[in-house]
Amino acid sequence: MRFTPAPLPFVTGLLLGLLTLSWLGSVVESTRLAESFVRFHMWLNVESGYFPTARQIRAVVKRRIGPEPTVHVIVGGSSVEHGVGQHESLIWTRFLQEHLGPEFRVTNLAQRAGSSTDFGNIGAELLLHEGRPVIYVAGSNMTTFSMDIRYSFYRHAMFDAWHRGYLLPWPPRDQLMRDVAWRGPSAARGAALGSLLDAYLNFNDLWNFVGYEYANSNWNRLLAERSFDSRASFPDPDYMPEQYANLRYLSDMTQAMKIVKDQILSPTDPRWQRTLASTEQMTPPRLRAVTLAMIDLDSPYYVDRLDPIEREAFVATAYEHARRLREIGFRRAEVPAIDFTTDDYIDRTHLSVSGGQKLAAKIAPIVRTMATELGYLQ
Amino acid sequence: MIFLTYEFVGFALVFFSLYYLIHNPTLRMAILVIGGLVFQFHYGGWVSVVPVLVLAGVTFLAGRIGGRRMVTGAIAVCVFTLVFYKYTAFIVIDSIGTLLPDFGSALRNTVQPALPAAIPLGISFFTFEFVHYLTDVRRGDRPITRLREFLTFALFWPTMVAGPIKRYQQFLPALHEGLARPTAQDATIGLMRIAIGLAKKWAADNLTGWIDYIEPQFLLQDRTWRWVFVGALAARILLDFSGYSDMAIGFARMMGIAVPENFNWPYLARSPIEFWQRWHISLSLWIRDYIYIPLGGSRLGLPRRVVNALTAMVLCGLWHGAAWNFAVWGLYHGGGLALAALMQGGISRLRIDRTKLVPQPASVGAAAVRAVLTPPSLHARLLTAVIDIVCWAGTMVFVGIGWLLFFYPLEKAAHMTVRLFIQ
Repeated sequence: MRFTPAPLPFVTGLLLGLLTLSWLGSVVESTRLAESFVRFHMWLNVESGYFPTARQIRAVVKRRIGPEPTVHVIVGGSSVEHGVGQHESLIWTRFLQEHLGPEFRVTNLAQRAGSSTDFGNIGAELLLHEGRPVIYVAGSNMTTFSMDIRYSFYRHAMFDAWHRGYLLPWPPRDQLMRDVAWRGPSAARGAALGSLLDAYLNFNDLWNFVGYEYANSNWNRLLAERSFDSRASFPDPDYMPEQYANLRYLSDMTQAMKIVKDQILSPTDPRWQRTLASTEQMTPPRLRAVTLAMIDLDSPYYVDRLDPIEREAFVATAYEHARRLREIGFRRAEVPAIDFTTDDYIDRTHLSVSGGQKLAAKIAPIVRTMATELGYLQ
Repeated sequence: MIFLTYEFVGFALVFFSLYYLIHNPTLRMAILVIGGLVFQFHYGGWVSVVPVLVLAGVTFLAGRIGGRRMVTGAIAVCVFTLVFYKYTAFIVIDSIGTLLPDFGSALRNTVQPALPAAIPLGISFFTFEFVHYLTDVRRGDRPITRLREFLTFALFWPTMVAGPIKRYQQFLPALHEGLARPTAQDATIGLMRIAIGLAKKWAADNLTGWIDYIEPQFLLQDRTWRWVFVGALAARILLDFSGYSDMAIGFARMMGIAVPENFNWPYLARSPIEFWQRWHISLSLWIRDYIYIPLGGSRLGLPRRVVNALTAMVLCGLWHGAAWNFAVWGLYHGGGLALAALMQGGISRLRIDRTKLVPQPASVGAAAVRAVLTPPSLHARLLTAVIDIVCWAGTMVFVGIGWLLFFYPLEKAAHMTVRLFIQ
């Protein structure tokens, strides 16, 4: 190396630089993201190389705490609850907000390829932690509520929230997180260790802030030539209903039917125990007590093609899951899509705008009842 | 990329804290050996640790005991181990299986249960280092007498995964110097080198994303963009590999230990010969010293020199991976080297006063002009510059097309190459 600086100034500069960046990371707030937040859409998501942090989730949730007492309705779950198939202006959580009125504040933290044990529960738990009135509206697929933290796309955020103390203390989950951090698959261990470092050094928050506000630093195939643009410059990409007109139900029928059939479980199937044990481990009792679990159903476009016995077993599976969730302490567990029609979906599983409207209308009274039961409303 | 994992960050923090806190050179050496074992075990498991320790033991003992047969036997064990772990499937399934399907199938059924579950971490590097050690001992160099020194050489974690390939004659003095007094200056230079490596890796990873995105559309692009793609491919591998080497050299330097450089602006080369003097230098020198020269090098006339270069480069290609495209890539470069050697041979037959030539044998075109037009006039210098540029451009095209062979299956690479020239 031709240029060799004096060691002391170099190391001092290096440490000061790192400390300054770390301090910057600890003070920057994703304010603009929180102000314009509707959902963590595709360009604010791991798919496009953007990994929202627990502090960004916190910023979104905190932004919604107003001077008036409000009940926070946090929505978590998968792409169904995220609202894939609905333009952000027509997303189902907007209708839910309208149904519930100003006493409630709805925040959609559901994620594409996510579950109710990632962003949603981080948002709900950090509010519960602060003693605020929360109802957690959590989507669930037919047989599993929680995602295995070892393989979840969003484990980074769970570890981040855990290290920062945003999650409720829950020894079985704490033990699992420790186990995965030490003995889990390599990628999960990396996520755990990275989150631990980030909890002190705040580098992810700094980069996410810069990436959102100014410029992104990584090429991503979804964004292609716009990879280095700031994320704030990307609108939510989901389509308006008319744009979906020619895009509905395009999946291969055989494959889709196989997925539908594979979800059928008899009430005595031993797999229930495993999935319920995982749900209990990942969801603290205090969170279950304020949770409305919604079991997602597949579109009648496919379900109606099952023979009558299979169809009955399919629906029974959803109700069996709901029953079991109630048994382990979920305040409510419902199957709201039971009377939805083919038009209420855009594909096997995602709701159309009409489906979103129906869902909002169905669960709003349940949420209101829960709020009363929990003593949030007079 | 092991150096870019959070686990490695944790490892490095603990390792360097201990290394700097403990001042006793013997204890520092112990930390280096233990660090190497932890590194091997964590990233490779027992399947990595056992072969490296067994081979290190065999190599060390053979070196200590000495004797031509003993050392040759140990070299054979090292080579066999490399072939077994890295090339058995390639030889049995890809080669024999393709040529003689029935026999290949029977052989595969026999061999499959014995095949290793995983390839030991860095086997291509540590076996080459052991072969270098044994060959040099056989040639008369003094062997390493202390086991701990040999283990430090064998388990030196910065160079374990992707080199540079070390020479023990240079490594041991550097090691003792580093163990005795790693200076703040060393740490500073090391950190800067790591930072440069990280920056290169960031650029390489972004290029990887772009290349993966463009590659399926390669044929749909116009010719300019196809050449841009080849350029990106070339930039990516240089940034990726030299970035990793920078980090390895930087970590070693933080310990006060100098390890060989691996790259010297390879894309400024004006001939394939010069390219290999600048690209993956530690491997090129290894191939030269332990394959090319033992085969006869350039001592046995031009035809034999060409055959030797081709053989050495095919083996060099296969070292990069167990697949035919790597062998062809090596052959391709061997052909380039042979052609450059032939051109040099032609120039030398012009019988000009070589003392007037600037000693840049790799710059074939420039050398020819200098040879014809001495003493150099302005006109000659201009012509030299033009020919240098032409030679450089030709070399870059040659190297770029080579990367297609390196990264893609043969048929696809050939198709892509044709489409670089035809719309």
